[in-house]
Amino acid sequence: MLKYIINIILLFISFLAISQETKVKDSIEDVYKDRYGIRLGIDIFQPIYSLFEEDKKGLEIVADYRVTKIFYAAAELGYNDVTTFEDYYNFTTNGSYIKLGADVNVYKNWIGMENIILVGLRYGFSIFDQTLNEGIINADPFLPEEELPDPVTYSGLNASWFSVVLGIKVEVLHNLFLGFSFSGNSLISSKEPENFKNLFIPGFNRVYVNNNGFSFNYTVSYLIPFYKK
Amino acid sequence: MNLNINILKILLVLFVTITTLISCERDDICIEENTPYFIIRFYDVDNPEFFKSVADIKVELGGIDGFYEDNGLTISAFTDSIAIPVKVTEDITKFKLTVVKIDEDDNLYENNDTFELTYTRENDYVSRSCGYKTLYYDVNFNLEDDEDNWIKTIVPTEDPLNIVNQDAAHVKIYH
Repeated sequence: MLKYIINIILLFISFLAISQETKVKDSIEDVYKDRYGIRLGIDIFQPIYSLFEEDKKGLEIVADYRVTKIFYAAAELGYNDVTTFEDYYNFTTNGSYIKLGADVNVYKNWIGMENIILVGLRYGFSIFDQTLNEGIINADPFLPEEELPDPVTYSGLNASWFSVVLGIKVEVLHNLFLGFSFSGNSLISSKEPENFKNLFIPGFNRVYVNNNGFSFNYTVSYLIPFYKK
Repeated sequence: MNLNINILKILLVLFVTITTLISCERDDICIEENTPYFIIRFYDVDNPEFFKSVADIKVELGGIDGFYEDNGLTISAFTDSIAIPVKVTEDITKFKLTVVKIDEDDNLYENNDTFELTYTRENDYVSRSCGYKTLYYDVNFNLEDDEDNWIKTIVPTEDPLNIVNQDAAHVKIYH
């Protein structure tokens, strides 16, 4: 359902792009000059997703700063409050994260355009709590079920990881960018709770068996130009 | 032709791919060992070196209706070992084992013996899909005396006896 809604939104946005066609061609005075500045934005996927999935709340702010023609310093700052349901139990992960790194724009723009196809690297760090809400012991179904004791909260956990990011940023209105990025994450360290495991980490998302994972965002951002060159 | 439209198309494809990916995330299957079963091996009381099968064994657990069935994995018509579940809700499980025996006049009859396991429990995290299992420590057992016990002796394979895995038999029953 969500997929279709987002796709419809996308469709409308592509019409926006068409309406901007003439404007881009008009800005002849900007030719040969790129804008340098900071781009601030927000991930729109997580707030929309949480409307449909009450148990998955999250917010992410993104920023990048153009250093050279193709290099951008990049950062994401976010928060997650996510409940995960497994066969025998469910748990809630609550915490914040920061990702720091750089992007390279591998897209050669037409003159006057500043779209980005990026390849980037990030170092991510998260501080969080895990709460084991409820569950049952996994035993032969012939036996009466045993429930796990009252909810247990494991506090003060943390984790760090590396990500490789692939993404895209398109200027849809003057200074307004729409972006999508996908990152493959690989865990470096994880402070594990006793007699449990960090199965979800804010910013990293689901931790797969091999300690890898993936995350993505869908951003709307605004460029504040500082200078041109 | 506006390049932005092309880029947006890529964006659209990427998005559909990702939404498809996250919709099939429950890919973990529980393959690790869960709460261990209590494994009994049957031996011949007259020739203690040798296994001796029991005929048509039926297992009942105190407080639970019906016979324990195990999809034919461990309990068959004629077997020299069984693996049966131990209660995870309390520190005591009563087992009633019924077998078919032959009396002096060569008639078949059912004989049941009851014994009790007492233990302390510990819950151990296994994995995402398996969740928690129960391990049993300091297991003691007590065979109830009736006038006609088919079980002669029960001998633990280790002392103190812990049921924490299913690698080998936990007790030997001589009959």
